[in-house]
Amino acid sequence: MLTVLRSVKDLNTLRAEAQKQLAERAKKIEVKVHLGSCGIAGGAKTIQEAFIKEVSHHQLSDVAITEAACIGPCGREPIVTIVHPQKGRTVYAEITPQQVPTIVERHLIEGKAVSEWLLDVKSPEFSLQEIRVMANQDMDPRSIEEYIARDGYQALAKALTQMKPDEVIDEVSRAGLRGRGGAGFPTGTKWTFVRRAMGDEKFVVCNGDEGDPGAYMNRAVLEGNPHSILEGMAIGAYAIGNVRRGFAYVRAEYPLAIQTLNHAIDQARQHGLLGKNILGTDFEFDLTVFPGAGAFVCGEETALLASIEGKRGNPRQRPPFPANKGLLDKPTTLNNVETWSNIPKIIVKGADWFTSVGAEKSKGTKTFCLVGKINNTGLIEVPLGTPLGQIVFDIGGGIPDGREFKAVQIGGPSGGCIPIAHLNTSVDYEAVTALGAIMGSGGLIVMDENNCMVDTAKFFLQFTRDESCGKCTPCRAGIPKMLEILTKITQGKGTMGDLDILTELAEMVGSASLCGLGQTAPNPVLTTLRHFREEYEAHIIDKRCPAAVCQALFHAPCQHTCPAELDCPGYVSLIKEGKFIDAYKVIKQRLPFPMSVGRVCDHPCEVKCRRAQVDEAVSIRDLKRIAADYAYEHGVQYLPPVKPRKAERVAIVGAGPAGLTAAYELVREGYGVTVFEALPVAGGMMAVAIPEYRLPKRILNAEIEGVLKLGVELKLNTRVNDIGDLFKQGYQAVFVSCGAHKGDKVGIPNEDKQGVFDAIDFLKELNLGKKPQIGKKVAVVGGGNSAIDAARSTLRLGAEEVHILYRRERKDMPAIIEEIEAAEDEGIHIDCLTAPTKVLSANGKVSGLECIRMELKDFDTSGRRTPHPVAGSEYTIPVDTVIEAIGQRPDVSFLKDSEIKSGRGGTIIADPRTLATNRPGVFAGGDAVTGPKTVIWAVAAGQRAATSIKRYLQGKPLSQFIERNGYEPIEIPNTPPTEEEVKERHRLHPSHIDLRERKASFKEVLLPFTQGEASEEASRCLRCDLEVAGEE
Amino acid sequence: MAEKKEIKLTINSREARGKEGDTILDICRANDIYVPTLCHLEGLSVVGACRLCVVEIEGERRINPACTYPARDGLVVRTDTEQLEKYRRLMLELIFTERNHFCFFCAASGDCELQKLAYQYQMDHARYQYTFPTLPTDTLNDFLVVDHNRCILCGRCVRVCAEVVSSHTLSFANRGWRTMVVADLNQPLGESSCISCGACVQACPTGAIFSKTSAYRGRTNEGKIIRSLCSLCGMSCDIDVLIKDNNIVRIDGANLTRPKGQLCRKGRFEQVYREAPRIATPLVAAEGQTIKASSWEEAFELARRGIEAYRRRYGANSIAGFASSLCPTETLEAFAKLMRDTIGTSLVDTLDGSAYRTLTQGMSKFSKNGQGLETESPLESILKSDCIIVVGCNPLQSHPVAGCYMLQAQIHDRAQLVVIDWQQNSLGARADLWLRPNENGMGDLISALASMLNRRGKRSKQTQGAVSLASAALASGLDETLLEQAANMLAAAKKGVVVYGNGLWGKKDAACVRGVLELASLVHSNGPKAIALKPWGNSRGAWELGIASKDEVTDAKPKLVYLLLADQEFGGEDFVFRVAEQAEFLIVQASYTSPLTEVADVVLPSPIWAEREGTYISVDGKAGRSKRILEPLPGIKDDLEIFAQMTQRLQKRRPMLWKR
Repeated sequence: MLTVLRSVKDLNTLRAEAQKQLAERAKKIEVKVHLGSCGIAGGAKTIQEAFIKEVSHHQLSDVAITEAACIGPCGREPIVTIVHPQKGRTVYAEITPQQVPTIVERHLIEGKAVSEWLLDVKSPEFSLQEIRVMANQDMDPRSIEEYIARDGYQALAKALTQMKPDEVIDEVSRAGLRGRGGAGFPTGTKWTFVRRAMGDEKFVVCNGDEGDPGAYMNRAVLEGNPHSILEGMAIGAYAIGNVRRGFAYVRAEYPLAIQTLNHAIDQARQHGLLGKNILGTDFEFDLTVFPGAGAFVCGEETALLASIEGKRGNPRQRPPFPANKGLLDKPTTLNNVETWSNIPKIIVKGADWFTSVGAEKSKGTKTFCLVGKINNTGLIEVPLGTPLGQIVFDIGGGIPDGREFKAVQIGGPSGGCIPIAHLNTSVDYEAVTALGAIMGSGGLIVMDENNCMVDTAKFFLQFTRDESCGKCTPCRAGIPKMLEILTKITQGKGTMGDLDILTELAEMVGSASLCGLGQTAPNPVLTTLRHFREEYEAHIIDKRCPAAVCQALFHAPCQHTCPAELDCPGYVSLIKEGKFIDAYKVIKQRLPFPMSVGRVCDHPCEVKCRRAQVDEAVSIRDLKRIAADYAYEHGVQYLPPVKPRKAERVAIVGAGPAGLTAAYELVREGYGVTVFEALPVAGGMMAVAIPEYRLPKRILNAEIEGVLKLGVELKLNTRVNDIGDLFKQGYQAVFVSCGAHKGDKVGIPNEDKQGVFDAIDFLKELNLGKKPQIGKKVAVVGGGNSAIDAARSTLRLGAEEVHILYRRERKDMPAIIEEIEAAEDEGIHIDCLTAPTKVLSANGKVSGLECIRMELKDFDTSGRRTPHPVAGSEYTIPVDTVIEAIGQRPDVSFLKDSEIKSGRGGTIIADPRTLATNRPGVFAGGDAVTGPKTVIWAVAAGQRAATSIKRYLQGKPLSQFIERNGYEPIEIPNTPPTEEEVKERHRLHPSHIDLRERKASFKEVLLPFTQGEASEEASRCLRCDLEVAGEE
Repeated sequence: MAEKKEIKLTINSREARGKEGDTILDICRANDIYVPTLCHLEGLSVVGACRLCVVEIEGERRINPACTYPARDGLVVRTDTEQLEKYRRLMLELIFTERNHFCFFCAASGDCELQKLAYQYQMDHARYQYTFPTLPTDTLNDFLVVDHNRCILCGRCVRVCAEVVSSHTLSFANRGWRTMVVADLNQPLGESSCISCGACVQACPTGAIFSKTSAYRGRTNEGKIIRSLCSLCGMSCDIDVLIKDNNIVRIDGANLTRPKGQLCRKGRFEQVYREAPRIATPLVAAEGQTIKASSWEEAFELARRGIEAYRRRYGANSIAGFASSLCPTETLEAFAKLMRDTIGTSLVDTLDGSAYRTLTQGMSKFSKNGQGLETESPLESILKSDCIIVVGCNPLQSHPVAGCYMLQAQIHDRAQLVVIDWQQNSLGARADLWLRPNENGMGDLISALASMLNRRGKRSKQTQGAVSLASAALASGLDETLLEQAANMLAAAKKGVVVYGNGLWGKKDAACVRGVLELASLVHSNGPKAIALKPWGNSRGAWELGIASKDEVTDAKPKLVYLLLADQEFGGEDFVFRVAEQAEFLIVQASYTSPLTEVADVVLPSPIWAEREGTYISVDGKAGRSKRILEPLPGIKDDLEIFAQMTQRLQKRRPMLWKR
């Protein structure tokens, strides 16, 4: 083959030869092992060895084993691409050396791909991408011939022989290429500046100092497509003029990138593509790789140039700009790896091709690194302007383990957090900046509900604090101060005034700092303050970290997450030791309904369980049940001590979990408590909405009995019509906990026909011992717990076919996942992406339900996709019963004369922390204030109400914290788990009763753990509460 | 250079004028518009680090520091908006809380730029937590203390050390909030390459670097600053002396700009005060008794009687006078007049006369009038040189400011620095080449280098006997290839300058001086360009006035010796002790007690440098005037008055007031 290329003709001859060779190779089966840094770290070298061994073992002469770089899904390395001459291209991911023999036998020898190990390259993850910069990632980066075969250096040839320098710049300007390093400055404009700057010696520099945490786009290109950078820089050098030398500044942490780039430079020199008289023209250009020494700030252009000059990598104030005074004070163009890499294609394919994708002011594609709490971790390339939600949910595959998405940190430590409400944001320079973040070089860190935003801001500030060069005051001294304030907040020592100082400081640091590092360092703080202020307030006011991250604020994440702050590690560890009664007491001290809550709780505690980081969360709810059930079965009932009777009396409106909990707490303090209940039974929704098969009445009644035994007066069938009247009756304080019992209507024609039920009314009737008249075919509209409860109940009432209609996807259903699964087990059809449009009736009775198919489009502010009806997709399901379960609201008609304000959805307005209403002495809580929530939230509201009422009656200022005192001490074991116990082991699930039995009766479905199972499951607890609290 | 174009700006709605190339800060200062600064210091490069000078510029997206922003015609600038002032106050709070700034205990309190700004911005408290870091204080240097607790990282010390002093000792280590100013590779200052010139003390805006000799002795606003001239070594550096209560508090350089803003440790610190006890009254020794205080009358009489007795008994040439070259020209002339005209002796010399004789002997070949001092180059030629050859001296010790010039030329203008010295030499360690021959190989080495240059086509006017490479190598103990390398380096020079000093006259090696000048004529296309670093502040003055003797005075074995020591200090090996030992009758005129005053027959107290005034001639022949800074101690007479009284007594005439 030709070595030194003295003309464009030589280049084309070499291209023809190289293409011929590749065509030869394509006749064989090609096994490409992807050996980027990520691949090597994932073990790709051993995979390569395994293939070599197997191929030689089978003496397969028609197999070529080659090397390529990273193609993107770094989270699923090692990756091997097999290109079969007949069967085409298939990609294996996450393969082990043990799988190699199978792949060789089945795929290479028998010609059948092992489909279960393949990467689905047709999935949205790949189909929504637009591969341009990364188009050569699947070739051998060490082969200049392969690059030339793919039209490499054609752009340089075209520029040198067919274009004037100004025409090159024009083309780049027309393409609208913007700096991919982050700031998005138009590349053509920058080149024009440098071209116009005076000087007979100028430089081009490639910025490969990619230092953002979680960003490695440039590394992949440096390792995979080095010649495109060389070619781009040579074209830039030609366009700018008087440039004979270029530098590539690559961080030393990228040894493979440096090696690959140096290798490419050597090859280009040997081929005369660098040096003097390139391709027979007068053009001269050479390139030197300069390894950076590991300072983030050296990614800043002036610091980078200082570093190349051998000085301390400090930025200097601009102006003068490097375009006029850059390296060695000569005019210098500095562009990012990806920017340079884009140049050759713009020259060969033209600006119009480049602008064919992208947003209005941001053309072309951009590579991103998707990292963090996301299923598909790795490198992607998408057109600029792609909606953020699409990147996260379609390409990224969403959040692992069904957790809730919270935010995307874009632009690394200089960027900001974009919250769930902005998933429709077009990812382009302008839109991202408008939200207070920056595009940055392309790091996208996805965060879920387990990420604390204050902690996140703290993390990035720690980074910028340590990476600040220390030259200018705002950055050097301001960032540590901001960090101090954040640390204070995460330790629960912050004040609301701190937020003002923090904002003020952040604005000053952002405005007054010398370079981009300091100017953007406050962005994580400013954006989290802007989008997640309530999390800051939770830390400051409630001393709570909603994500259960900030260790100083809690003992254990489970306890911290529980609204009622139950001592989960305490009772779990007692259960582990077989001390069921003690465990029961620990629970009962704070919770009057351990058996009930142990059955129906939506267990937020388990979501934050640290054990999930090992395998799965501990079954905290089921353990609570077994402890309480054990005590019940052994006739043990814990009655807490009651203080001597005080004179003050408290009226509680509503005997639901909130009201009864408040009564439980207040009566223990010695107050006289009367609970007024309009219904003939106590227990609220626990009694009337939750069906018997989930919560047997005898269990609930036993627990209500326990509350009444303490001296609480209960007045059933007594509707309160006037709060003022209660004061007249001698009550000094009132707690309104009337719940949310009024079902919402769907709002479709014929809702009034016989056979249309409101879910709450239906369940209430059922629970009060009546038998609602339903038909054989039932449609339940809605996706919450009431919908599931109603659907499963109709099955037990004899329905033959039950459909749950839900307008979004199953993963979006608000119901407890175990309940959804149980419903499906029982044969209930869940028709997702379906909405009712009309009840069909005959003779005044329901005869069917007209439905329409829905499709999900853009994201709403809660981060869920908005369902839109698909026109013309209407269809009818033949049903005789329709149950509407789309939401409830409180019935506050009784408050009309009592001056107590209510707000949206008819909920009572009360302070969320003290539960005080606008009327002194009247407090409100539970579903009546929040709208429908679960039992444990109502319990917590009861505790808050009790605290506030106690303080109110004592004339003390109200407190935002639940006050807990007077508990009998129970010794909690403090033995941490053994090594054996920490080892990976799956969670135990309690068993269900037989499916046939389930459908036939209202018998309780879920069985308790056996004592042995309970202790075993409890031994999975990691005892996070024993960790020493504290920071750093 | 063409006159720079005038530009007009609008600053705070007012028109402000400046020149093209000015920064906004330059124009603000020139137009009396106040902009606070901390990291900015006239004479140093601008860095825009402290950010206090941030201003709003119309059309700029961000605020910019005035100190770096190039002014343009028509710019509209605001320096005083509410937001800018808020930011400035915030930054001050940050600086105060970053380290341990407790003004009460600080040497700089009252003279601190940071403190002043805090008062100005009414920063009576900081809203942030103090960080209270645990930072070291470096006290290892003899003159300086570096207290990192008070450092604001403005980098003025680092820049002055690099840009003005050219020592490049100080720099920054670490980054971000861990940034520290360090010496060399984080050595204690006293163990580093620091030459203790103290420029950093002068540059420091706070009390982070302070002088041990000046700390807590007075604030600037409590005293008076007098501009004068340092008369110590002949570099004639301009100094600003702060005095308070007739004491010297501090000595600063008159400026901190390159090339002439340097001072050295001697000029800045050692002159502030001396530990040695002053002589406050005349002293006389009766026969066989130890010396004791007397009246002026008694002392003058004893001296007169001694002089007359020896003149009568042995003739006038049994009497000799030696004067220190630290004395100003007027004093030296008066002394010479007393000795030669009034007493009538021809035996008058300076204490550094042997250096004079060695030098003039060596120079004679190069001089028309046989003296040669007129052939010397100005000091500035060091800065313009492309190759500086230092022979037989260490300017960093003897004339540190000259050493700075050399480092400056070496580092900033890429001149080659070659040191030829057999002794330990700290400049040699920083040189591009240090030839360190045997103690007695200097002459041969220099001759050999000259020969080698001649062979490389360089032609000198005066060619000495050629010394072969081999014999030079043998005599100097240096490797031949090293000598070749040195010759190559020197051969490339076009503007070479040779600087030489005490090592040569210490050995009275006139031949070597000749060799040095020969070498100098070979390395400069218009040579020779050479500078002798003379021993004392007015050596050149004394020599040009002809006070130094052409012949060795001690050879005449004088019996009465009159020593004018002034405030010069001596080591035990010095020639002056031999003179004193030889004498039968010794008159000493000195400022401080010393072994010499112990053995004298008459001691006349002399003022110190700060108590007298007069003309000094620098190393390169420039006249300058040193001012009287302090009132003399009570009872101390000016040297000139002492000579007048002596003359009067010896002539038995009415005293005539000396005309200055």
